[in-house]
Amino acid sequence: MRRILRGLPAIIAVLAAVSMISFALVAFLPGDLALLMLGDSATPETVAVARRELGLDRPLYARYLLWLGNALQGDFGNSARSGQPVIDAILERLPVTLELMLLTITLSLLLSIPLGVWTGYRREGMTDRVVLSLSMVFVSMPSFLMGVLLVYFVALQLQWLPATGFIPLSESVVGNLQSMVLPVLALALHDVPVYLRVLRSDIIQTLQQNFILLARAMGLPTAKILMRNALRPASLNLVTTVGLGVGRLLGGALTIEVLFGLPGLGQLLIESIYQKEYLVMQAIVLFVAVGFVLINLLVDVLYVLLDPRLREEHA
Amino acid sequence: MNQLTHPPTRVGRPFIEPGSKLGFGLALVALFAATLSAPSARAQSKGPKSGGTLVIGTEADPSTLDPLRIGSYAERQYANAIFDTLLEIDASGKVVPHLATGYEVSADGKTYTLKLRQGVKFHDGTAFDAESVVFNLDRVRDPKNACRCLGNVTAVSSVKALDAYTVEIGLNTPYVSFPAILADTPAMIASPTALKANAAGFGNTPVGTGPFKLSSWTKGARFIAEKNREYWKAGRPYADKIEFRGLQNSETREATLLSGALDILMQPTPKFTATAKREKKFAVLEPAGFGTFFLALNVKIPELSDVRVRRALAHATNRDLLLKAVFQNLYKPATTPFGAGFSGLSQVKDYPEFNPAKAKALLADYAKPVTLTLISENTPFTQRVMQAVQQMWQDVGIKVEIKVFDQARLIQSMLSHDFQAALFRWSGRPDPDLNVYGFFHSTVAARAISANYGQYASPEMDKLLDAGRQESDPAKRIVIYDQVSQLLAKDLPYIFLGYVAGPLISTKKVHGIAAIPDSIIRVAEVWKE
Repeated sequence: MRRILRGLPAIIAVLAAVSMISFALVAFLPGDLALLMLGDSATPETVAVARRELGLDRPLYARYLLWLGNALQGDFGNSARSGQPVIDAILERLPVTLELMLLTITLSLLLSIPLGVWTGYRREGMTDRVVLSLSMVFVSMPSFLMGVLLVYFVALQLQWLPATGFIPLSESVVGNLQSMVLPVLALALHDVPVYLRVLRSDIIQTLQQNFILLARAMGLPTAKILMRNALRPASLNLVTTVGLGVGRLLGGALTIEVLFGLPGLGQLLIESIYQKEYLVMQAIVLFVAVGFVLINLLVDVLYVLLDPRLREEHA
Repeated sequence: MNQLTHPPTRVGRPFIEPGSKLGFGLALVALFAATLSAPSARAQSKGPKSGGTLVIGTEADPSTLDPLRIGSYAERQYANAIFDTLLEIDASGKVVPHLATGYEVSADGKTYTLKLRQGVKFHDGTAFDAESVVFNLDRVRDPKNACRCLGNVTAVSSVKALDAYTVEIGLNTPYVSFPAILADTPAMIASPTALKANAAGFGNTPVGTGPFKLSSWTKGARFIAEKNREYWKAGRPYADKIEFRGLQNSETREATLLSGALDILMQPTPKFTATAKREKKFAVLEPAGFGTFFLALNVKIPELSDVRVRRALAHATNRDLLLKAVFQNLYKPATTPFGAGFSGLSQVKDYPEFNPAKAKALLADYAKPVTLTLISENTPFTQRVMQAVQQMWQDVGIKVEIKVFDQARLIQSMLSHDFQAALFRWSGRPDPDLNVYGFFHSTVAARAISANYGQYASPEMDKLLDAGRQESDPAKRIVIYDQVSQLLAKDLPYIFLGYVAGPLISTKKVHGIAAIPDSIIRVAEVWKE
């Protein structure tokens, strides 16, 4: 706990910096926001009015403080196009991204943990060789390429699954899962090789430790040794890697969401860039950055849970 | 049966209507004509069938469907399912009755009296009447609401309900293209009850009189609407349900059609359109279009203020090659600002043809070196067009630099006249006045921010544009706008490249898509085998 508390000032500093950057990102974009919003019906008078309403006539630091104060209360302003509160637009899209994220992580771990443990245990074996060469192929293939290939073969040629689109969970659970299969596969197939390689090398090291020898000498079954005694100490690096992966997915796997037409945060970000919805862009960037920080915090907590030594250090 | 069967002193006529046998006031006749032109050109043999779900893939899921905010093509398409406009345009680009059964224009051209259809109900049960029209029109023309359509309704000075089904609209000046505006977004009539109950959230839960009522909307993905069983047009809509799917990425959209999940694909790329034409299972419909894409020239910068240089650029531009190589012959070469969706107007016969020798001669005559910056949008497709133009102009000795912006910046640069040459497109509107007045009139050029991008000003042009806006005789208007085309070909503030068309691709099972020049599918008429 203290370890986490000690990190708190750093976290606050990071969040402050992130909020400034996401504010500046939009403030320094070329072009006059007021003119952009009014479009071709703009006259110098209406532009002046819009500038005042948007607070564009105030100094930069005042605008930042005002924005930050509102943001802390959950008010990110209203969308210029629809008038909908920005926070609502984000909350509307968040479940899709969260579902995509959770399913991807689950699938990646379900595949990579057994494979990582097994290939670490039986290294240089047949499975190891096959898995390693396959993982080389998948890891070097960006997930959008995987997505395109999956759409082409699974959806267009075999017609097993819908090529694109999204069905809300509330409407049909089966339909929802069907629409998630390909995007999740495209993302997971890229992550699995990374996870399994990290785990494999840690397992190999762990298996050379004395306590494993002891466990064997005690006659514990191999499966138990691998999954109980070896996996836990070998999973620290994996946790870090997965944490980074989750952060990446939180930003809405941009290309994958757009490719499969999933209405998540990533797609919202792209839409808002196209439509010059600066307030939405700003809020998403901040949101993702905060999410990233929180996930890293979670990784720290998991460390402590997984490794008793970290607890004792400060006891 | 209809109050307007006896033609009044002066009857508003749709523009460009050869040998007007259909007096516009004769609502019944015109309505009959509208129904005649509606069914699809193909599959006339089989009768329309009701039922089924129609799935349409579009470029973007709109962020709102409040008529105040509707502007883009996709937004207008979604809105067509939910809202009806007061008037409508048909496949020949003519204005026909819709929620209004007909209208009269006063002798001075400043008062429009609209007769409304009776017995129409909004999706929430509210009755459609004169009060609801007044409420909507007052809402769009109130500058406080900052309607995207505001520029189109500034001429309106008053809107009054004369009785339950008659509305009188007063204008500041005669404005012959006004009926075309009543067929567009400003005249999409929304339920006043719903608007009053929740004005801010209306865009997310739109309520109109249209053929379909919204049932669920997953923002960014799917917009589902059920058949409006009380729709005023008998037997319509045919489909039980309509589903719009906003798919940003063009490859994704095209893959979704190929996978069989879409019935209709909107905004296909020229390349995919060319492929689909060869495929047996798809039908490609190419509505004529009202607009053009063109090179706008800023006549205020020294080089381009000389008409010889502008003429040289026109002669240096090989439009046929451009259309063939880059646009896969999807568009026809343009010589006027009026898309192929207009009938009756003529092409400019002696539009500056591709002739590098002439271009070089004109430049030699000008005798100073010419360096230009050409700007446009940052899409890969537009960039290919720009590179082709750059090459063509450089071949005659003009130095050309290319700069790309995102669309909003591009529009901003053009509106504030901060450019030299720009590649741009304008989808056009169903009245010629709306295609030229705001773009070429000198009063517009003088404004700091205006759609007269290149600040072109000519007294002769002003005279023509003013006359066209006020002339009510269609035959005389044709003469006027042909003169506008001629003058533009002489002065060359624009070099017209092609007439834009918005192709629609559907499976062969889909019927009833009328080729209306604005490329918006009238979803009430579409049916599936």
